[in-house]
Amino acid sequence: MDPLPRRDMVFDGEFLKRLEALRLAVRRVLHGRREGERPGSRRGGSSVFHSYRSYAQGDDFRSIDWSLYARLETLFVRERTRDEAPTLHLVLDATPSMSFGAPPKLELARRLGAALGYLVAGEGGEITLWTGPQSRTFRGEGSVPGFLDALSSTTSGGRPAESLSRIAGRGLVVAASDFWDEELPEALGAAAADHQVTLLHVLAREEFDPPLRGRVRIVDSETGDSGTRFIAEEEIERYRTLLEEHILGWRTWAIKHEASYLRVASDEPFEKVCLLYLRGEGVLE
Amino acid sequence: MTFLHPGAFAALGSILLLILLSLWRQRPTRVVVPSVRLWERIPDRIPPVRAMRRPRANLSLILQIVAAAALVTAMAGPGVVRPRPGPRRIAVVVDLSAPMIPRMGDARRELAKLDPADDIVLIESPSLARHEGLGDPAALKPVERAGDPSPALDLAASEAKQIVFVGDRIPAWSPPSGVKLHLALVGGPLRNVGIVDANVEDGKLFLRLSAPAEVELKLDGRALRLAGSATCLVEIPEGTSRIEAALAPDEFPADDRVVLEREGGPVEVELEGRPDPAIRAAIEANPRARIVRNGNPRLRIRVGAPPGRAAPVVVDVDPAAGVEEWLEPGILAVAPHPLTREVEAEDLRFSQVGRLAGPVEAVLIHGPGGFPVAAVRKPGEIVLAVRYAATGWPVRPSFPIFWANVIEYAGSGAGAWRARGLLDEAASRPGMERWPLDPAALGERPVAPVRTDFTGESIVLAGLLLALLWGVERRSGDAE
Repeated sequence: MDPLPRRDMVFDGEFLKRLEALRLAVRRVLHGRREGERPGSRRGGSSVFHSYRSYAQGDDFRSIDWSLYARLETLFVRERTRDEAPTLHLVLDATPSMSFGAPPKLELARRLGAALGYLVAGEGGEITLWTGPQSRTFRGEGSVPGFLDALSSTTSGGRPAESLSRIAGRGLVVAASDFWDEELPEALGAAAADHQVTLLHVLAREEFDPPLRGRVRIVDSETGDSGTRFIAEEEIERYRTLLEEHILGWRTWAIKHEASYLRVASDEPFEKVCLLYLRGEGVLE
Repeated sequence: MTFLHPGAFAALGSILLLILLSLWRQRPTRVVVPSVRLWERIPDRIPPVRAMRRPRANLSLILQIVAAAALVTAMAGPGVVRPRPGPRRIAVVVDLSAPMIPRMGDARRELAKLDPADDIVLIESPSLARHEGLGDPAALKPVERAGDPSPALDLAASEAKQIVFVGDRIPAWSPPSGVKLHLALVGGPLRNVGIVDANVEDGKLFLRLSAPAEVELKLDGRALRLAGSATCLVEIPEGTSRIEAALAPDEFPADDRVVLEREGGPVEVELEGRPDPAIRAAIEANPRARIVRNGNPRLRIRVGAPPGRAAPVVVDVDPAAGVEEWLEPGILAVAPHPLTREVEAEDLRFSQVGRLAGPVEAVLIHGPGGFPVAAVRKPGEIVLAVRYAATGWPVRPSFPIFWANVIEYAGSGAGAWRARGLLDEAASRPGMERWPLDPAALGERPVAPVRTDFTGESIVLAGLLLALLWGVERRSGDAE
């Protein structure tokens, strides 16, 4: 797959204006490294009360709850939460199967990832771009050009399962893939325990309606496995049914793991997907 | 079914190649898909027969195979051999001698009975002209003489076992062993009277006719009619050189006319009087003339001498008598006569010419004023009243020409008589048998295997199949 020209990754002003009106929906408490606008799991200096704890040497006297000391004659310290910026782990599937479609599935995945990353960076958050075992982290709004460059130059990479097994901490995990990898459900399940997971299921139009008829030797683009079979309308109908089951399986998985799920075709208009579908699925708010 | 080149069927191996190519074309299409996960869950099945056939592809293969087979068959030169009656070899001898002149219509009708499909060789008698096929019977023209058909029949026997003779009489010829002669006689009664014999002996003409009839005679142009008789004996004048005898025309005109001519023999010449070397040289140069002395010459030439001994032809040059006066030559004119043939007036360079006295039969040279200078006084007596120098007339071309004419004049009627147009007696027979030709009697047609070739048809069929194949392939391509 050819690198995506950066100009295609840079969105026009109208789109950006509409995009900036949105932000990533966060349903869990964040555990980010950078301060931001979202309530985090760490204690900090926000105005939001979190809990009491026993006084320890060195604690700020200003945080001692004197009224509680009057009743209990024990020193307790009032703890508050810390506002944090979101941390986004963008897991981009750049395996050979993502090069199918017109336009290729990877292209839509990269542009969706770019839009989400742009929003996170706008909040001063941290973006980690994962392609297989490799990752690059971009922090803050100033890292957007570098992030877009990294995205546009991503043409191939390892399996998403390898990325997911390496993600630490708590944050947002967005996996853009065709989800044909059989190890993905398990890897994503592990990630969903700590992270808020969003699945962007990108499929090519030819995967919905395969142009295969007659005696065909089918070759897997990633494993190289092949098999010769006869394909007629009956087989195509069966394939469509299985595909629906496959999609339904991932949707069910998402519900079960409190994840967001969006299935899109690679040839659908990007703006429509980004501003309409992502919002409709609760990925953006 | 036969094949000229059975080895061409080795090319049928190309059909195997076509089938292999077809199988190769029908191999499974290789398609790379993002994942085979779902496909692996779909059980493979044996395709239904209807789907497996792929009618268009099979139609293409069948057309290719049939077209290849047609091409191979065309290369092999297919044909069907069936026994069919073949042509008979027949030699036809047509008698075109004079007696056939009135019978050619019948002869052509007999020839028309022959089947042109037969292998016919036509031989003309007596000319022995040979033609393959019957040709145009109208082109057959009889000759005006009788002829024996035996040589033509011998030639015919060397050409074929079946001989057809078209003539007006049974030939005096027996076919050799194995050869069958079929007679097609076109005789029949004729109203004919002919001259069967003509000769001159001892100055008398003898004519014999096949039946009494009137005869018209011409003796050197002088006409004479003889009363009706079967034989005639007529005395002819001395010096007559040509006799023409003719009967009234009838159905067979070939024997109605006979011409007898006396051939010119050698001429003995005797010179008298004043010696003239130029005349002697001119006479000696002529191969027909021979100069003699004291003999009985046919021609006597006297130069400047008075009349003396007689001879059948006498030429007096510068005669001693019979000349009125001698004059300057002036302008001379040459009169047309056999003796002055090719003699030019400008060559007549005389020193003096004489005016001949007395009547003459024919003037040869006219002097100034038209008087005769040279003339034939009477048959056999020629006078030249001229005097010339040795460098005058003798050196001109007309001098030897004139003396050659004199030799020819003297020599005419000197030889034997010869008759022309006289047929043999059998030619003018009044009637003969008529035996029409029976074509069925010419024998059975030989049965021979005849081969009908289908190479062209095979090529056309292959071409049509290839065109059809092209159309099918193109339609198939459009559909894809």
